Amino acid sequence: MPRLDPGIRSVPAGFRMDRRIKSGDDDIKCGNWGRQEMFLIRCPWCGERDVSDFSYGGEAHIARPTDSETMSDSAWAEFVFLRSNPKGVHAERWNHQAGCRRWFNILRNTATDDILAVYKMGESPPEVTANLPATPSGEAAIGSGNDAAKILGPDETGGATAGK
Amino acid sequence: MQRYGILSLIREGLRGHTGWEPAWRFPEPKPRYDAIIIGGGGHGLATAYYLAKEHGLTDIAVIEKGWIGGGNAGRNTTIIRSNYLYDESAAIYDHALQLWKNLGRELDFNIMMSHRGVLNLAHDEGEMRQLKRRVEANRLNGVDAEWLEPEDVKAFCPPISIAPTLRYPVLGATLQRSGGTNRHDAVVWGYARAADALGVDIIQQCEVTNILSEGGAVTGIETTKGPIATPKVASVTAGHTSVIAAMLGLKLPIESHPLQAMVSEPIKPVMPCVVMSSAVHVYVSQSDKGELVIGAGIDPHLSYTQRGSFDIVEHQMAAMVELLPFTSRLRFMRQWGGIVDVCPDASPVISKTRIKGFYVNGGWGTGGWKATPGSGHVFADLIANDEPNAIAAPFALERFVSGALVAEHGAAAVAH
Ligand SMILES: Cc1cc2nc3c(=O)[nH]c(=O)nc-3n(C[C@H](O)[C@H](O)[C@H](O)COP(=O)(O)OP(=O)(O)OC[C@H]3O[C@@H](n4cnc5c(N)ncnc54)[C@H](O)[C@@H]3O)c2cc1C
Ligand SMILES: [Zn+2]
Repeated sequence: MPRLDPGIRSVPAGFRMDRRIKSGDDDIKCGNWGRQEMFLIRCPWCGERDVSDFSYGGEAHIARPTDSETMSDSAWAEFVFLRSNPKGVHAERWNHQAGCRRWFNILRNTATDDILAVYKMGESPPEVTANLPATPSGEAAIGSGNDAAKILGPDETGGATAGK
Repeated sequence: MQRYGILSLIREGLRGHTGWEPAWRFPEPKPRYDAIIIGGGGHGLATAYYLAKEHGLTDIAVIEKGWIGGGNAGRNTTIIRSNYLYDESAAIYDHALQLWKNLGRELDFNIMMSHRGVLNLAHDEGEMRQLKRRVEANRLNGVDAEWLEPEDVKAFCPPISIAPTLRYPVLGATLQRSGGTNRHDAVVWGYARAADALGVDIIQQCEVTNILSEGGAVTGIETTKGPIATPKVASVTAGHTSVIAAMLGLKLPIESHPLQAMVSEPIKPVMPCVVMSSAVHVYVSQSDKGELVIGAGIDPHLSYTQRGSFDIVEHQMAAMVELLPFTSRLRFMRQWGGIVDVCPDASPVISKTRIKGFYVNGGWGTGGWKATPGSGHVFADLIANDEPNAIAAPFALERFVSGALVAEHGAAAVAH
């Protein structure tokens, strides 16, 4: 059993992850490409718009420290610079800049760009399930070309890349 | 290692090319190595090569989840220059540039290194002042840099219009004559072949799924081909750096973004050099096959999807036609994306960590190709000696605590 993507640990508590591996599903390989061609975000106030309408506001739920005068430099570094950057579910802020100009949060699977939930500022992330790659840095079924080909050793033959 | 050259070519030509040896082996992983490098991109293979060649560490392996050079090494636009503003950056990028000059000969592999020159255009007064300042800073650091007035820009690169009526007039440009481009696959293959010849095991299609530690020190890794014991693990995984660090519970100042590039249909030679414009936001060069190679900006959001959004492509085409109107009828053949590891100060992380025996080289973001030999060279030194040398030291993780950032954002023009 591959273990869960380590990034998941850093997503705020309150929702659960299921690992349902989809690579190999035929419908993903041939049928669903059209769905992936545009990156659409559903603004909670205006509805679905293209990503170019929005601006990205970074990882969500990072609270500004209240004890800023007494904090250590490394605690500051953590707040200002360190990010969870998971390959998996990420809670993040967006602003509908070319629309209502309001902020909101989304949960997105960064391995596939699937948007799993949209929720308002101040709310906690809802429970979601996501299709994660089978291994921590494995590739998603859609959108990546990095493990699509098998390398043939000098003694192996077969497949489209076999011709020498 | 079989020598490549005119004599071997003639010999093989005469006997029907039956005597070429595979350029590297396909070994199965051993149960233990002295050090393991995760990531078979340019930086990882360079690190392995210098570890073996300069530090005598030959019982080592490079573990690559896909095929070597299938990550950003195989996806980048290969723009090479070293005209960065700050001393720390100039030191590492120029170290790399000096190594590039002789690398093809050293590796006995034609890396198609072309020092065709890199122009950075200035389109307004502010940019002009900033770029002139950069030329002076470069010269103080011994980095080759000149300022060109518009007529000289036109003479050096005829397709650029210097008409003063343009929306983005060209007020001048910096030129680094020693900058240029090379062939990404050849660099990867050259390093792989040379490292393999020194005894390095290059293990492809093997993903590192966990890093094991005991009492705060690395003891080994788990992979899709089984566990391997080792006292030293070095991550050189570009876009996946945070994923690897999280295996040891470490958080890094890095976010991963898609970065796209594209090539046009091949045309006759029109671009004699590399041209970069940060105001219009485009960078372009022409490959030896005749394709115009164009790089875009990053998608603003974090993603590992290796494709990028369509609006970025649209923006890129608009910028390209703005700068070079003759390209408006060109057809584009291919577009692709890579995942780049971006640091808040746009400088890399070359560092030890609080886990003994775990080293990180990442955060090169949109511009690490040019650094490949220099990065591998100083990182090998860090792994072998467990202490950074003078070039690597400013890029340690501690800078995010001390505040001594190497803030090249904005200072380095378009970040490639
Ligand atoms: C479109 C684009 C254009 C660019 N243009 C330029 C440019 O013009 N000039 C410039 O200087 N730079 C440029 N860059 C940046 C440059 O490509 C990178 O900074 C540099 O290539 C990164 O180092 P690398 O070659 O080692 O990375 P990669 O080739 O990405 O190597 C990392 C390797 O790690 C492997 N890996 C990841 N996780 C694991 C795991 N768990 N187990 C085993 N292996 C793993 C990956 O498969 C990958 O092969 C560009 C990048 C892109 C995407
Ligand atoms: Zn809205």
